[in-house]
Amino acid sequence: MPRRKKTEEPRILVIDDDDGVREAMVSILQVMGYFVASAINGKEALDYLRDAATPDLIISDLAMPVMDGRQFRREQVKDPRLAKVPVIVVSALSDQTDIDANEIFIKPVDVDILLAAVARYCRGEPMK
Amino acid sequence: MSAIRGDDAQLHKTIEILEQRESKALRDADVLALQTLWADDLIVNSTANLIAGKQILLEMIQKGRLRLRAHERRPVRIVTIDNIVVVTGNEVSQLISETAELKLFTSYMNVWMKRKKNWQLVARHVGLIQRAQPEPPQ
Repeated sequence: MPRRKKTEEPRILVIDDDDGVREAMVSILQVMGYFVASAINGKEALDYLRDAATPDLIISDLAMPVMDGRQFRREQVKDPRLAKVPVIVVSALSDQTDIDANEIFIKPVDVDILLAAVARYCRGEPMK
Repeated sequence: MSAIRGDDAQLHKTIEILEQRESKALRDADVLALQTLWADDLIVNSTANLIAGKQILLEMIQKGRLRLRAHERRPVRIVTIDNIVVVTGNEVSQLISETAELKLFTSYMNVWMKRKKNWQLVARHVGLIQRAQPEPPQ
């Protein structure tokens, strides 16, 4: 697994099956100075995380094909390396019960509020 | 603002020109034009259901992270309410992203407000009608 330098920008993994939402989210976070990777479902995210440096934060959708956000979270916490990575769920679902996440945002999402939450979990300001 | 109510046709023409000017500025990534056309407190709810303000949108355009190959706007209804003009219609956009190009058919609502002597876009909501892959260039 690649080691991280302390000077590297905070790393975020975005998981969303919707191309438009995923790419918009990635673009905004990159413009704000974060290193951002993305996956189209929970399985692809787990595959990516197997070989990638541990991210500082995961932003995930809930309803996705192949492996949804809830399944992903269950698998994530089984892995000691990934278990403590905070997760922000961004979802259209109004049913917020049974969601294991550090924060839940229901769409539409105010980008300013989301970025404030991202900065909190990434412990400081991005390297803009 | 009775003067505006009595002169709706002229005002609507003015707003239609601004609508097309803003559409062209988006297409051309003309940040200077957008700086003037957009109010500082502009609020935009996009097809991605992300609500963003002027600063971050301009930054995304400047850094090439919000790029349009094409943008056509067709206003369907224009309504005047005091010093506010609401325009609703449809748009066809061709978005250039890192991985692909997307053609978006959307409905939109733009809210223009007169402040001091200038009309500025203060709010915009875009809803997705259909998403398609653009035709390959001839």
